[in-house]
Amino acid sequence: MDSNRRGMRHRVAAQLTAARGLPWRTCVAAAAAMGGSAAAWAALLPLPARSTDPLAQSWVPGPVAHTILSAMAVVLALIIVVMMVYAARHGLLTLNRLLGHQRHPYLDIDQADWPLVTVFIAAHNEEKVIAGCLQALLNTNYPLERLKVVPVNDRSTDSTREIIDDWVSRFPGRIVPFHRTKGKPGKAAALKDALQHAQGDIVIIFDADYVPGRGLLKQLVAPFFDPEVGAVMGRVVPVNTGVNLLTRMLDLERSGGYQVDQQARMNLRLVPQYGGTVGGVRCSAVAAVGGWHDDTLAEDTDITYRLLLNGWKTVYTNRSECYEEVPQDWPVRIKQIKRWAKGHNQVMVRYGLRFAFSPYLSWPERLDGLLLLFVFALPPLLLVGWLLAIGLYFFNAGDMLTGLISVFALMAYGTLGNFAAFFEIAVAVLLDGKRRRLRLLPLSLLGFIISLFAISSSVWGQLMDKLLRRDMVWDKTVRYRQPSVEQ
Amino acid sequence: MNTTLFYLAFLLLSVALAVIAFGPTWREWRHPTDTAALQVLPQYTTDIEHFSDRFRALVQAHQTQLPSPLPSPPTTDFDFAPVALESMNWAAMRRPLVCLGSIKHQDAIVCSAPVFIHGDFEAQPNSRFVGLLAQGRIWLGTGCEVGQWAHADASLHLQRGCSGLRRLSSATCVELEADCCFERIQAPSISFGGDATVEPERESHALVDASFERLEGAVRQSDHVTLIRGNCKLPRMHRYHGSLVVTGRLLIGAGTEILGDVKARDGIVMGAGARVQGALCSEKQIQILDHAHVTGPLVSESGILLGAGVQVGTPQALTTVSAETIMAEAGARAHGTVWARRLGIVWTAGAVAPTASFH
Repeated sequence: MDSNRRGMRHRVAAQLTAARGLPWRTCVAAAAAMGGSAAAWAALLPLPARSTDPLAQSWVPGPVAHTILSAMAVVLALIIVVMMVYAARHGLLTLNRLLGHQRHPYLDIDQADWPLVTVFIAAHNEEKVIAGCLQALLNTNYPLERLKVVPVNDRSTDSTREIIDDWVSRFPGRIVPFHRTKGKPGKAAALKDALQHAQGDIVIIFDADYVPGRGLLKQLVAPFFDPEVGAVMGRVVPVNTGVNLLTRMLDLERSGGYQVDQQARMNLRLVPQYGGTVGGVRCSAVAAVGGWHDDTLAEDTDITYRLLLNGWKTVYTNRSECYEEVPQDWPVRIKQIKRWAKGHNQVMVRYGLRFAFSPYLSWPERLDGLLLLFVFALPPLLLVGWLLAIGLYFFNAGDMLTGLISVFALMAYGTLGNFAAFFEIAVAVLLDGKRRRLRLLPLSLLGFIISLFAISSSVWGQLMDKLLRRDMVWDKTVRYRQPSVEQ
Repeated sequence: MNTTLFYLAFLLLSVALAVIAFGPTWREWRHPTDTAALQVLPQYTTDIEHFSDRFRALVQAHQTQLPSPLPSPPTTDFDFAPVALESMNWAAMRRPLVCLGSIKHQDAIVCSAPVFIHGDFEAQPNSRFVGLLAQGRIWLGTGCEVGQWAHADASLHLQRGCSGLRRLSSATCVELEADCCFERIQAPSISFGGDATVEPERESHALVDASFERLEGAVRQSDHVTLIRGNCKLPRMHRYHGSLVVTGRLLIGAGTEILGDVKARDGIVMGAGARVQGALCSEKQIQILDHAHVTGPLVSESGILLGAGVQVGTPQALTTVSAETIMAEAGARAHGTVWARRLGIVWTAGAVAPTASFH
């Protein structure tokens, strides 16, 4: 008898939930208070005497299932809150870039007693591009007697070594090669070894496919006159924008990431990120925070966070621009973003907690730094959110609010992306004065969805690496440029 | 039924909105109109003499009848000043003007075209120019105005109340008298308001060697850098080795010497006769009192106040002074570049109350 009554109550509650979107617990309580009479409820409310919803009739969650559903709903709500926080962050950064005071404190330094600087060119099988980078560095207006150019030839198997040696013989004393034939693979490990050959306290790093302009070195070195600055980052600009749809979309993404995101964080005194190239570090600062780590896939993020944790600052200089190649093939792009994700998450695990409580950082810096650290954990989180939304939809069929949650989640992702939001990209492209390429903006959704699955897969792989104690492997990004004529 | 219709309408609306957005996208994808990489100028520098150098190259190309090294304007777009300058209508000039000798005009000149002078140039009070390039010296009378740039291969002198709104440069020295306004100046020697009073005798042996690490709240950041959280006050007549970072305000006592770079986020006051053998940076105002020396660079994100007799940089080691606003008291001197993003002004003690409106 009792079980029949309880079943009746649950059916009434299910009808109420389906028809009115009221919380399950409320409906059960109301049904119990009214004696659980379906007929009475049907009289009171304009409900059909028999629900047409098959799920409501066929399955009523018991207490355990109800607890699980509630937990799912809570997790989904939290995920949506996180997404909204990121959306707000993107909005804030974009509005600051549009309307706020723009900080370029060291850009005006054009005359000074320039310090001795070592420029490293990270090169692994870079025969197509290394000559162009060397040529550009020899044309710089930085005082020659204060400049040491060190191509870091990391176990190249193509003709990179011969090309470097040829340039060394043509410009003796100006280029000092570092040929690395053994040791741990990867850019971080190569740079760690190369640091022993640095002269002076400032090291500027370029990838071999970069073509620095005449005044770029001075602009990147100038912030180091501030003794608080541990690392400096310039802006990278895709040079192969027009090759295909992917390069055009990456051009949009880069614009958002640098023109708006990095500059706004500089403006707001948050956490401008050192990006590992078109930038530099203060050697004494790096030594003071534990030296260069070669056990990471994102040595740039690693060094950024260790510097900040120990009271140093990072600086972004938006007008210090340099061309780079972006991936032209989706598999290359996916590999690249997977590497970034793994490296970034590695840093998050290592320093996230310490960062939250560092006494050297202001609250806005801590918050921004943590949000930045968490950015590559968002895609799997979003996937989980989608799965939860779908699950809740099917277990609460007819509940319109629950049904729309997945739409909300999709909109949230469309709004914020994993790195550069649509709004952010649009503003960045407008600031760059390239209005027409904005027409491609809706296609960024495609890129974001691909990134979503790539990053999620990367995170899964990272978890497996951890469980199975596998070493993470550095994947070099493919170069596309044809060998330059200087060779 | 109604619910079904609602969902159907919602779906159709969503699809329609999506298609509308993807229409231009499809066209731009299939028929690209904007694929060029963003322009990054390989020769870009912050060189202040860019405009004068460009103008000089054009004039030289024109005079030697050689092809112009620059694409525009065409080398034929020049006027030549007549021998009898008194009859010349300067205001009517629309094309760059070339003067083949020194000029000392009796009346004020208003010229809206750049002027190239093969020699010295002397302008009467209240003259106005867009651009001036002289192979000799430039001397501008009271109240003159330079709209874009002026460069002299010899000295460049601005009398009282002149206004150099954009770029002033010289291969030797730039001298600005009181009440002159400026933005960017570059020269091996830049003097504000004439010579300063004689610097008091400095007793270097009286300095007491001290260490930043003994200061309250000091944290050693690296072998060279010490961090102090909060405000910091350095006593007078001490000597410190190494660089200092202060998260609050910093007061450097009179006569104290620091052999390193200094940063204080919330502002710096540098006492009279103090010396910093390195850079001095702040996010807020920097006030440098009389006869203090900074090797440089000197950078503030707010304002800089240079007292009488202050020297920034040396003739052997040029440097940069940069801030939103710069107020230089008569007698201050800089070597290298002085760059006031909003406004710089030369003032004389007693003429204005500088700190009242200076943030």
